[in-house]
Amino acid sequence: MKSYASYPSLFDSSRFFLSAPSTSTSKLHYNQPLQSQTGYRSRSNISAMLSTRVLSRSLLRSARPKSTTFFTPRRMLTTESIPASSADSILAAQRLVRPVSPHLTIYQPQLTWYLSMTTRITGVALSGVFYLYAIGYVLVSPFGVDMSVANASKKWGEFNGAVKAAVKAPLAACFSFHFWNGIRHLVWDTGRELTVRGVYRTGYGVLGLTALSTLGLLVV
Amino acid sequence: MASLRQPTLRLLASSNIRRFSPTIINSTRCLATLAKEEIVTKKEPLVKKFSIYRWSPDEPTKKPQMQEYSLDLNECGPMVLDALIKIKNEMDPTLTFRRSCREGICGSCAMNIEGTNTLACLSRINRDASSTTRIYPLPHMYVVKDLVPDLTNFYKQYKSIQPYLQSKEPAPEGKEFLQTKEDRKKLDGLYECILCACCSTSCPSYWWNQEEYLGPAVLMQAYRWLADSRDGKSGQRKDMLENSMSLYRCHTIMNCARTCPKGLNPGLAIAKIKMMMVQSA
Repeated sequence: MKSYASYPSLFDSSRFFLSAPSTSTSKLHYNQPLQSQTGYRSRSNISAMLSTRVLSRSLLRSARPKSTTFFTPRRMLTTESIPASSADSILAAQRLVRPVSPHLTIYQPQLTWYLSMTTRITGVALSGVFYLYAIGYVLVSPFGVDMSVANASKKWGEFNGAVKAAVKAPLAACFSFHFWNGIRHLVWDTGRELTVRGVYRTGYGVLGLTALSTLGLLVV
Repeated sequence: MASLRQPTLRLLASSNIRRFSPTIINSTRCLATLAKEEIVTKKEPLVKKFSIYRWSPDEPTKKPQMQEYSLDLNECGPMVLDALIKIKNEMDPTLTFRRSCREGICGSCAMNIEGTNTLACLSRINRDASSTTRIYPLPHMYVVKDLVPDLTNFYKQYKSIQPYLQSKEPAPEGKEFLQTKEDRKKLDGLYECILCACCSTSCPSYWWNQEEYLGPAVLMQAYRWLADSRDGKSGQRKDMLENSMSLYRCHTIMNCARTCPKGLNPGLAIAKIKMMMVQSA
């Protein structure tokens, strides 16, 4: 029964025990049964077999007598004192095994972060295509393959319309979205439209403009 | 400690009532109470499922998992926190979460409910019994246990922005630091933050860079002190943010403003810091 503080109860016939309020970290051990020295009528049967506080509470509640016998419970909790200085080492030890709570997979799909993610992806896609073309140009030119813009556009013209549309549509969509959302960011950088309503209004605006300009680029 | 005392108090209270009730309450009153109870308490049970993230440090190698609980909503308070407390009290005492004020002012019960970060005490239970309410801890944080995330880093970051008034001169003798009504108004929408960490943990940038990026909640407080007319250290405050990580990992995603349970706008505050930095550069 170390580190206990006992408080005289409000009533003369009994005392009850609480674990000492401590300023340092303390661990409570619940493995010992709570023995309530109770006048709850059937206490001798019940309290002996209880092992958790809540179980005891619920059972005691159901066994509540109609009599006016008064009693107070005695708690058999023990505490273990841990100095505040060991907080860091405990934290470090715990961190080694702690999981990180789920994030991307459980967060609600919202226009806010989905559009942000799309901007990033379209940017990567567009620059990826640009880099591929540029690096390909450098690598292939020494072997006599002509990748100049004039030649490429001549070759491009020889494809049929369906193929051209299938290649152009995703590129046009990526470019349109990235372009319009870029302008949205420029507006934000002036401090405008930075409310939840503004974010949604401009977000849907960008999606609408993207659809229009994608169609426009396909027609051109 | 409060939860330890509670049953004791309950016992004391209930035994008091038993002691005195026979002499106070007469028999007709008892009958009236009984009849009233019979009329009021007939309601079809509305059983709702809650799926809650569980992980215990006592079994660290056991993977985190979702545990389902079914509750009769007609026997439960209206808020998600009521449901959690009911589950803990009556079904599973090992379920662990933080809670304190139950009225949205302490920020303890911040968690991810049905996909968005919010306070359990301010979030109504969706009464559609066909859907399961899924509850996770705040996203991308170390889990201490179940719904309790480790906010050590978050608080350290808050401390790092020196969240207190630093004036150049002491206040005039016997007087407070005064400011005009207009200057005071600039702090509205900033000082109300309760640091529940809902916004920071909703921010994908903070998910990926929380060791270095300060995150929306802390940056809004940084702005709160930059915007304060009485503060004399705004130069140093701005210098501390002048690097690629602390402030500029904000990509205006705006999950923060979308999720804030207090209706504040950290995204706007960060944009204002960025504008201040440009002006002073």
